[in-house]
Amino acid sequence: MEFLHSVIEAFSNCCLNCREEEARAGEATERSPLLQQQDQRNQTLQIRRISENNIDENEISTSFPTREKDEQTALSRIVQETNSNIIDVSALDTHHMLEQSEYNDRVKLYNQRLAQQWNNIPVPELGYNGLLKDMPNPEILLNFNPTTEELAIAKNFVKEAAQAINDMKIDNQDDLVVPFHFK
Amino acid sequence: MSDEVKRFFTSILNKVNGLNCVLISDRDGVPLLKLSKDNKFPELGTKQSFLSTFSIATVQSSKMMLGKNKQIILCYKSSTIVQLNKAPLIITFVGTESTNIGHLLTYANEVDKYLEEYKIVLEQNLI
Repeated sequence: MEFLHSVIEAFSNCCLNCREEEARAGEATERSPLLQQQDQRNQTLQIRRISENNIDENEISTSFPTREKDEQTALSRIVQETNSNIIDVSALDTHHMLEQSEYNDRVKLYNQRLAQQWNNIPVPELGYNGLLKDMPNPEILLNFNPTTEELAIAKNFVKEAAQAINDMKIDNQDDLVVPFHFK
Repeated sequence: MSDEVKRFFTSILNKVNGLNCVLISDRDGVPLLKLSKDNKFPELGTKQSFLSTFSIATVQSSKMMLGKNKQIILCYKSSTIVQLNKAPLIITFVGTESTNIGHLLTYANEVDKYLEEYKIVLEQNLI
């Protein structure tokens, strides 16, 4: 009989424990696994990622031509930049040679345009800063050697100037030393 | 204005020792202004094909990560050629082998204010 009692008590304890566990199922206890909540969170995150991936795939499937175009333009831009940055020495041999007729036409056109521009558009004259601004091409005149006449004029002028300087005199009108009167 | 430009470049021709000829041309070497002492132009130095080579050379030499190329000086056995990059214009000075290049380059900065009208003409042509 004692044996039966102990068996019944054990069963009843088990049932009570089961009920307590059921009651505490929602709460976190010291025995509840710590990683359980983490797992749940991971699961929800995975679900979200999958859904996002699906959306991305959908987007990719719809926006594939534009992305391809973007890549094409980016690629062409890179090729263009590289092309402009390359030092192409061989280009010197294959430079553009104008035909004689085209060359003559262009010379005529430039002359016409320049003449037209100088006639029509009033251009403010650039100020000439030189000392001899009244003379056209003073460099040419100044490059010539002076003639004997010019030398004689210059010598005469210098002689007169020297004489005038020598003739300068100071007239003493007041006393040079002025006495100060202190009170 | 044309007289001003001509007078300025003639004064450079007279002042710089050894300088014989000045040319303002477009990038294809078609001249807009040609000036020289005694109206003599060295044939090879002023050839269209020779002048247009500069525009390619200056573009290629601007790619050396040293900034924009401003001028190229060519010293030959019997002549010196200085070319200035004043896009879309090229200024070419041709002289003897003893040309005073330093003196010539002091005028390089002053050249700009005389080139405005030539640049306008070229821009009209491009349009």
